[in-house]
Amino acid sequence: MTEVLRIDLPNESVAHFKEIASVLLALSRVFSHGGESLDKTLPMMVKTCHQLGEYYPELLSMSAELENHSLLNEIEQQQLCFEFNRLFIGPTPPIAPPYESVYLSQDQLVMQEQTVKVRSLYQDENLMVISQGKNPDDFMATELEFAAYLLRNADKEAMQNKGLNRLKYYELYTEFSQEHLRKWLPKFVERVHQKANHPVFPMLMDVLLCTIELPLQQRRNV
Amino acid sequence: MPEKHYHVCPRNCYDTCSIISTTVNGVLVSIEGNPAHDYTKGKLCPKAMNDIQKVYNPSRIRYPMRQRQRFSGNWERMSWDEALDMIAQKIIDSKKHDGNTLSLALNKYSGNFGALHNAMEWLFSGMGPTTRAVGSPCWSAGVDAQTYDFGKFFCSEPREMGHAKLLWLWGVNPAWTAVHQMPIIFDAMDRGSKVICFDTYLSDTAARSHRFIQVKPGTDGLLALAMCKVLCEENLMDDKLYDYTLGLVEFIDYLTNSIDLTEAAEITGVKAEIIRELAIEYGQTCPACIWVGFGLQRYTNGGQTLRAIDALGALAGHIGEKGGGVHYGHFETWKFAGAGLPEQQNRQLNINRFAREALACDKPPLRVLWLSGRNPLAQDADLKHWHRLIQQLELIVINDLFLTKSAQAADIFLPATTHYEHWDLNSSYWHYWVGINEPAINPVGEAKSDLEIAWNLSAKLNRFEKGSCSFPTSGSERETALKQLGPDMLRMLGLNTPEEILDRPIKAKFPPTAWENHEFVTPSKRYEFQSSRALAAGLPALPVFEPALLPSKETPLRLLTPHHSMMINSQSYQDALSDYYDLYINPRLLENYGLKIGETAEIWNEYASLQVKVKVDMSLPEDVVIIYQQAIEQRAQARNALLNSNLSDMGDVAAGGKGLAINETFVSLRKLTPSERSF
Repeated sequence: MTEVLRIDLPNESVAHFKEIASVLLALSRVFSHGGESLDKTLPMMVKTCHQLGEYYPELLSMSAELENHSLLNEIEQQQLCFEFNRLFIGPTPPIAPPYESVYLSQDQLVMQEQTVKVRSLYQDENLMVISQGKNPDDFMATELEFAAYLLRNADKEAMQNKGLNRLKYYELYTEFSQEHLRKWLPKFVERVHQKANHPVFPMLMDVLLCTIELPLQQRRNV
Repeated sequence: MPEKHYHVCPRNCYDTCSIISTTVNGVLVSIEGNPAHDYTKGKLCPKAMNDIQKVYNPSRIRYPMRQRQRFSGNWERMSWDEALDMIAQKIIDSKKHDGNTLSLALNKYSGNFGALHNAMEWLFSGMGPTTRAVGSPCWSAGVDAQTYDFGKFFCSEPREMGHAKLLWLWGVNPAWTAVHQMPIIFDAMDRGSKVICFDTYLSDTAARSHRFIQVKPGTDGLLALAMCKVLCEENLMDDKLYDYTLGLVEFIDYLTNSIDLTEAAEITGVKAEIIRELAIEYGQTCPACIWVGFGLQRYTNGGQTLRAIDALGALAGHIGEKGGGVHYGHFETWKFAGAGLPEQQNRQLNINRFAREALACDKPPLRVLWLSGRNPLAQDADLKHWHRLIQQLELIVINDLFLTKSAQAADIFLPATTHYEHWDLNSSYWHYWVGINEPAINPVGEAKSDLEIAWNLSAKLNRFEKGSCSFPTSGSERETALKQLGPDMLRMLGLNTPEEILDRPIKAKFPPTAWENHEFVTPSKRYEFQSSRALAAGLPALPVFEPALLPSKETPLRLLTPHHSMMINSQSYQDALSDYYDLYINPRLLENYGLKIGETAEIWNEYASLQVKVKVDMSLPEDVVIIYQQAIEQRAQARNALLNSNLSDMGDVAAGGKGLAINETFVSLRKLTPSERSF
């Protein structure tokens, strides 16, 4: 904590927390709405990437590629949906189940120690997963939504220029990212890269890994 | 705070364990055996110990899904509303088209034996007369045999076996399939009891017994009859038999005139002097108990085998004896109240020949098939008929936990809850305990219990067409479970109200020894060596030996497929899945076929061929090979492709249909060239 206190964060115009949060939220929607809604969630994803891409050119090229694959006819959309389900949902054993504990728990199951840990983080913020107990709290969509929530709050704090207090949510994001997202998402992404049969999904994975790193990159830059 | 919950293991298994789970913050964290249960005594088998891995497995299906083309693997998520709309609409359309509901078929069995899993049957009964799979792939011949002999299917409390001075384990392998019985057997051995195991091969149970008697497959009935003859010759029959049996004279006549010890020895592979020695020991030892396994009756003569063994127990006076008797199983604690729906004139198809018989149905043909607790594409015989049936069907629905081989054929997959996520009531077909199963956690994902699915579909059907399903459209799962304890069950359990079972599992108040006063429930109220019911069913009135099928020149090897310790049918609890079966053969067979241990070979018959890895079992006869059930169905062809639907001789009277003579499967073996080998 003391280290953080010594860091002078970039001001809001440089941090782009809000834009990063928008990309994370759009990614969250891709997973929460599922393969059947990719016709809606992918364009939104592309749009937010474009916006953030203004500040991060590497994202701009990724979003341009994604855009090429987000304008699909009905049959292509259906194929994309089948592939999404094959990778993340089932009913065949999914290639890359989108749950943190599958990658980090000893038995590679859902609803494990990691699930309870993120639940506790949500509770600290008076948040609760609507379907708690039915769907694991460490579902990727939920974790990304939480990450977006933290960054939006960090952005608000930055806007209010509240001194030390403005670092709270940025610090929470950093912790959350280091303790959770960065620990399992690379493993998740690797599986998708290895087994995906459609280029959209590796691209999405690239956007995902790149975006969660952006706020941390800013700290490193400072 | 940790919370405790009662469960009952619902698997198709002797032990039906009482389980206590612990949850913390709504997460299932541990399960353990219930120490207050006097049979399972706080211990669980590896299958139940695997439950958390099952409940929270990332491969478990969480959402209703629709497959665009069968076996394509192209699945889409759908809401429950969409799924049930689609099913209900198809049901209504089929009914309109045919003018009746017979085109709707339910094929359900033992994926989960909880009483509320009968909800699928209730749902179908609510729609009208439908097509049903009846009977059992498991134990039908034996159930009918005991019904003919005793009047109903019942056995002593299994702990009574511990009182036996002589215990015969006949075609049963509890070391793998009923682990809670083993301590009872070991305790008896420690107290000086003698344990003899009769089997085709040296099972893990046989290896732990004092003596192993190797019997040629399908000849156990003759062995029992030969021993019956010895009892007569040696005057070791119960001298009160005339007081409580029927047909003794006729049976003795049959033994005298038709059973020859020398011939029996040749056919069974057990020497005549050993048959005599065994029979004398059995006749002279009290109490002496026989436990007959299910595999023994999976032959075309399986029912006769059971009747012959029952007769042996009766002749020696061991029926009704404390610590004696012939144990097989029972139905007595399964008298659930049901849903109070009227009996329908269903079109009944034998579960073991379902596809074959379904294809023959017209007026109307089958249009909709619902599979529940079943995986026929990995288990059933007549696989080619199954694939033809799948092509004919207009809608296939399956509710399950995982994508089974059969689910790959489904149009709609509905995710089911485990026994940690729903209320239920469970009984055992072995011990006398009945227990409530409480939900410990919320249903995982969007999974629903069978009962909830049935309610919801009934609601849909009634919305589409009022009065189209008389099954309730909603209710309380807990209350429905408790309602299964009707007056008979309450009396049996010694309860005043169903709610009392919420406190703990309850043991039925039966006398621990079956038939202790020789009060049988046959038509004559006697033990029936000579059964008029058997005669009326087109069977010999007496237990007789009828040879099982024999191998042909083309397929000279009998293929046996016993249960694996980590499998229950196609439900696997193995850590690592294999891509192939191991085939166990006699070393001489290895030599004859020029094979090496570990080499890939092929077994085949007129139905299919399978590549297998060869292993050696010194105890196997040269004309018998074994494949243990393994979960290879997702990676390779399962062994059921080799099965023909030969039926057992009995099963129509009490079991709903004849059983599958699965041990009458014959194959040939072939060495493969390196280029032919798949692995």
